[in-house]
Amino acid sequence: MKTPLQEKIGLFESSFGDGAGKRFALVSGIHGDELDGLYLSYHLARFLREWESAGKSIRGQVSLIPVANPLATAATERFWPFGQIDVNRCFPGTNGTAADPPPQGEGASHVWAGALFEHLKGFDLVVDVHSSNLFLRECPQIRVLNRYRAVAETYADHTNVDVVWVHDAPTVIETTLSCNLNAAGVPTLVVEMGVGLRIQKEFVEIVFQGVLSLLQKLGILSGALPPAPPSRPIYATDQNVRYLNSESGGFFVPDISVGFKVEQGQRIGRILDALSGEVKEDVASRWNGYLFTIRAHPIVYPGSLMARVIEIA
Amino acid sequence: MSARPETILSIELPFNENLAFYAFTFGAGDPEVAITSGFYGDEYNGLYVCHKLIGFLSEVTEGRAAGWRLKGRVKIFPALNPLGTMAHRRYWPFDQRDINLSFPGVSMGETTERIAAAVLASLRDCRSCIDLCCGSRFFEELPHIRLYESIAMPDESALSFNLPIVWRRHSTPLLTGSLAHNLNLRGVPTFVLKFGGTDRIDPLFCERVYEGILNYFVASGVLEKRAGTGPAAPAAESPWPLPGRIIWPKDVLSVLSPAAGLFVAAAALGCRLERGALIGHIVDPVGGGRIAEVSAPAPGLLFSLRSNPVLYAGSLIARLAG
Repeated sequence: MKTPLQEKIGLFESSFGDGAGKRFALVSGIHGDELDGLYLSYHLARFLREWESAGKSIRGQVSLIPVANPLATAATERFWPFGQIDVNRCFPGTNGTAADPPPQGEGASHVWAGALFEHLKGFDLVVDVHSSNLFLRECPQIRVLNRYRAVAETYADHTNVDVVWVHDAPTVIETTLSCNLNAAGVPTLVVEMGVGLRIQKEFVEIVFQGVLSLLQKLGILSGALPPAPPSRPIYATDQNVRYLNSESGGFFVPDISVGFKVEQGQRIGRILDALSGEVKEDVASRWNGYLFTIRAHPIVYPGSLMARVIEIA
Repeated sequence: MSARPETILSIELPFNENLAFYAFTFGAGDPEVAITSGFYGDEYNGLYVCHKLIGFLSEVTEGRAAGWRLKGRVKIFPALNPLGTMAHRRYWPFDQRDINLSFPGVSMGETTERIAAAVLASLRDCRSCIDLCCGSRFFEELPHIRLYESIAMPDESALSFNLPIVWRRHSTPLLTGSLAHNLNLRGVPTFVLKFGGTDRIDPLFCERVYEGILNYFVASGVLEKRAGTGPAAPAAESPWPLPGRIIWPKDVLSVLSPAAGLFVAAAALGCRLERGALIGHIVDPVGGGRIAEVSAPAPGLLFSLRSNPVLYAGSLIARLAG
């Protein structure tokens, strides 16, 4: 895309493989402040390069699009910087002609989204990598809309993650990349992990192993790679996901990270008062279950989301 | 001032402060009409119109506006994103959420959801709502009304604002979180008034919108004007032909930029353009040349015009009502 200063912003893609097989794409950075996908893409590119130079075959295609919103990533921003538009609310996008005007907003982000969407239409599997936001830390997980649950069930055992969250969603989700690709018949998984503006190496390592295992399942990688053990993720649904919200404002100091079993009553952190030195609230799980989300941003308002737990009876 | 200020919500900030959200109610009868404003902290036209309305309605309720009587109630929410207004941020400053996409809200949820829930609860008795907005920060808007297509609404109500255009537009998935959509679902017609741009006050547009709202109050039986009473403000020649027009999505022509560059407008908001009339030029700010000429694809009234000059290919430059 040409900029107003007549330079170009590119949507860069790195491709591997002989083209004679299934096509897999990894996309990350639609939100410019989510960075784990960069590190994941680095590992994959490095692995695939070494694989090829060792003379082993990559049947089909592996495409890496690590920086899907480059202007935002360059500016350390989440949204399309020109107008603060969430690119993941712009799909399926537009082609930039008067016959196809943007539904709202300035326009350029919808054109960008349209180009990305069109590009990904021919793939057999797309993984859209997200790193939560500045506020919450997520254990590596797959998210999928209830109506595309079958896509998750086909692939989730080969993703190496602990959690698959099958959710019903408000109407705005209709405007995401994953929803539009799934609707267009391109199986798409959303992977969430970590927190915005940080790289969580151990989570990236988990998802990296998961992607290798997906590539084996698709028949793109085979031979010398040991068969990946299937993971058996917990399915989170609207029936068993519990939300823990704060009751007071203050700053939050967590006791633990995320991706653990917790017990009812177990403290996961405290909301503190900087002026008085008092503890305003002990934040404790109200359920036995699996803690898959925890507050990462220290500043909390009353009602801020502190944690999500999959209740396990 | 005889307004009854009411705290609809008080938010405990993280460091021992409280942030209050106010509504002002005038009158005690029925029906109740609500005015909402200031969801976006960089918009000031709505604040100014609320200032004028609060001033005038105070005079009416105190008996200082001869010939005028308030029969119903008017509930005004002048600044629904006070932290954003204070900090000059469009969205809720802490998490950049759009309050006007957080409806219907959750009373014990995140802050923006609490604001939305409190506003909706506070609007439970209102019979219609007027939401005051500017264009996005890229546009200036000729004062007009936006209504969702699906809402059954007598045209006369919308036309009584004396604005040139009432745009019955499509809803989109994103807009399902807006106040207007949620009130419409509850059977409360909501007029979204768009006028002017962000980061400034457009006095002429504000004046027209203010007068238009008073006219709607009279038409809807909230306000009574005794025969022979003059207008609230001195009547000026209307800058546009009245009555206004109802337009549908097929009547709206979007003019998109064919190329990236810098937009320099040649036409002014409110012009009636013939087919082929010049709207502006796209120039190359670094190379010095002209990249393209932008002209009207069909005749129409220029009611949205790009105010931010920076263009990408596909950026919206103008909207015409054909």
